[in-house]
Amino acid sequence: MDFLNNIFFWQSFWFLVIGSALFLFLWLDGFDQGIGMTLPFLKDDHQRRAALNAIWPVWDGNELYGLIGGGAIFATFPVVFASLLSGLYPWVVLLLIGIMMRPIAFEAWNNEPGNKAIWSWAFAVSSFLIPFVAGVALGTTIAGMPINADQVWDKGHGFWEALSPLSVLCGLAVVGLALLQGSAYLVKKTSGELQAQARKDLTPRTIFAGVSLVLVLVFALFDQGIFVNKPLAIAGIVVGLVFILGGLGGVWLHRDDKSPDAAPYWFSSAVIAGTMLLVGGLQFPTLIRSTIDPAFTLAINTPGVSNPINSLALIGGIGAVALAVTAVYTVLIYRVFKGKVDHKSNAHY
Amino acid sequence: MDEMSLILSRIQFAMSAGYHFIFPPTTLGLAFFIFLSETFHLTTKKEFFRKLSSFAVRILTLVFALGVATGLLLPFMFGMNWAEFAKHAGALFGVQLAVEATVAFTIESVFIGVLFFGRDKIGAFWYWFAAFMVFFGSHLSGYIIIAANSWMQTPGGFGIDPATGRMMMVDFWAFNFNQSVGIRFAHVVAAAWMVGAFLLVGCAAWFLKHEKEVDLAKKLMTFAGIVALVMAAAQPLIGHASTLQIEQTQPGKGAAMEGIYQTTQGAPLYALGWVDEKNQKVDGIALPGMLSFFYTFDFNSVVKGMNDPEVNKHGLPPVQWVFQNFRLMVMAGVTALVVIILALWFHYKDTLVRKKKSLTIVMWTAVLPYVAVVTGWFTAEIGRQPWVIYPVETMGYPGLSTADALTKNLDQGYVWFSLIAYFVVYAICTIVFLRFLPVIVKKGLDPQPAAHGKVKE
Repeated sequence: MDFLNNIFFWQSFWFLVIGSALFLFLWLDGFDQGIGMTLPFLKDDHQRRAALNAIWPVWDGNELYGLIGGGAIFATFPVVFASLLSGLYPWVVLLLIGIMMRPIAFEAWNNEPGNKAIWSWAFAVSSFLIPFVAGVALGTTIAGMPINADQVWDKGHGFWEALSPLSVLCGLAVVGLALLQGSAYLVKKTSGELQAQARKDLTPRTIFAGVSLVLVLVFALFDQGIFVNKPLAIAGIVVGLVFILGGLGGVWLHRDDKSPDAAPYWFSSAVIAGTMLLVGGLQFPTLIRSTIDPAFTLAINTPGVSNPINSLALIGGIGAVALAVTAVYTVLIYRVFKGKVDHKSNAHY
Repeated sequence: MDEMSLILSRIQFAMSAGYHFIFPPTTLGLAFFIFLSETFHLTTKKEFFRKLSSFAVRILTLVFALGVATGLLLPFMFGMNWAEFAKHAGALFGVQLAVEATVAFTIESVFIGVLFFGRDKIGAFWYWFAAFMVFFGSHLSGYIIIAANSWMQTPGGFGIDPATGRMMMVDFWAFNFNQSVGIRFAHVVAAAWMVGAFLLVGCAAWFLKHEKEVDLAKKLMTFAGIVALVMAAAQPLIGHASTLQIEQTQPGKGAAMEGIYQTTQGAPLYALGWVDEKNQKVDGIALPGMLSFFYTFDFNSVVKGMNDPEVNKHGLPPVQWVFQNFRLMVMAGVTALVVIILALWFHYKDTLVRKKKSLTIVMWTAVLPYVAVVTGWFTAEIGRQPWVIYPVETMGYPGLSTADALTKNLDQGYVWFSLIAYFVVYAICTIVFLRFLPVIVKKGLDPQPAAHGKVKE
């Protein structure tokens, strides 16, 4: 078990864990966000009630994976945590407004006796801010930030520099994935008119997600000069593209009402898995690229970026056990709440 | 360093943590009550326990959502405003927050979903189990957070990495079982159970006042009232033990809480007062010798004041703030105790339901534990200034001052933006809480399913 004493093993392990947490967040919270963005456009409050019932028991557990991802960065790569959040400060404020407003809007929508329109919109706007800013932040780590020798965002560079074509495209792509997930999940969990509407939405949303993902890849590979000279990056792109194209094709072929209701959801989930594999392969072992000087790039094995090995190993153990337990009861919870919902579900507790 | 960015960041963190700290104690208090009710329901099969539990669960939905909304922000703030702290202590503090998210908060949020929606989906035992897991998860989460905060007051279990000058983990358990965490956790849990119990007592008072579901409301008054009484009576003792602990490890904070400048034999306890920081004295109502008695059971013992070099060796906090917040906390707690004693007495005599004015007072007493919780938190956090991480002489650790914890070159405009944005969100939170808590309560202690329709038919 010599590798356990190798810090690069633990750094890579945590790269994988953080990536997995982000994947779980985009996968599971993705449908919460997608349904949230759709909410104001549904026909009436019965449909909105049914749509919310589809996510109500599980959404705050889903959101948690975002927090776990962020917490894991703090616990393992505190320098990156500090540079990323202080560098992208104004953008993170927008993300946090989304994260805070969503549960508030949710509760208010449930309890508001009269006109709920304002809360539907608050829910939709916050559901848009979360994936968009998260996508921009992800894109910025790929496109690069003006990281200087002190390992922080250089003050000579304004906050708007986070908005490169690649990072904006990443934001749109993550929004697109969430929208696709949202429709697919509604097809799986609802029936009747709402399900029919969600099925109809699959077509434009598949196209939107597909086009934005392709543009992200094109920009990442050519415009930004992120060279594919590592076997891992090539593997990530190949495997990722197989998942993405297979998933998008699967959704496309299963968007009619003869296909199983759950099919679009699983194919759309595969698209998200593929996206994360692709991003992970391209990035590893880099965490944040520096646009000032490649020497300032923060990678998992840049000296001082990660915590010492004993910290990494300690929470490696705790985290592995905790995540295994979490996985078991998350599956159990989804089983308890399996099946179709409508506007009358969850009416009493 | 930009002085204004520091002040704004401090105001922002105080506002955010203080505001957040309204909701988790409510969650802990309600989770405790729900767990008790479900246990009694499972063992006695009495229906009213189920009804009271369901009532508390309906309030918990709102409180938990607001707690999550306001709490998710806090860890991000360490990276945004306190980046130097995040780098310095990430190997311990960051690990602790990650453990909280993966171990405790997942349990809590997953099983809270079962509590809200699972009553008719799973059997009675498993519903009880979910209530237990919510109780366990929320309190474990509370422990992990209070341990992290206590560690900043009484650090342990760390070393300094020679390569980077930053902290590294040496002993996870010494971190989690640091000197002050035991008594501070007890103090917070007792406060939380008080908050939850007084909130439910307030609800019972509302139902009695409006003579709705009187039988069930009386049962709620008895049940929640007893919890409220026990916790309100125990809290002064626990709090006192906590001050003794503070005397040992943070003497500057302790002396500031009591407003003692000069080392005094037979030191007085100020029931009320105003600190004259310039002339180093307190004007107010003094109980002679009482502070000495509290510390040593001897009216004539010596209490060291803030001018003693042993006391102020790590600097002093802003005395007035600490002194007044401490007094507000104590007064709020003692007033709540008096009210609950009287309320339970008249309730026992069965005359409470006729005293409408008294019921109004009992109802509004639910606010007092919140006042105590927030002012108590301010006492603890302002009292440790000027340090974020307190110095440890025995380890040769010089501490991390609040000014040094701030993000380097933090743009003042950014902090204005976030401060105003968070303020607006908290204002919306407050409106939602004050608007919908009555909506949930007024639906009744045991609403019929027809009255539950979330959508107008």
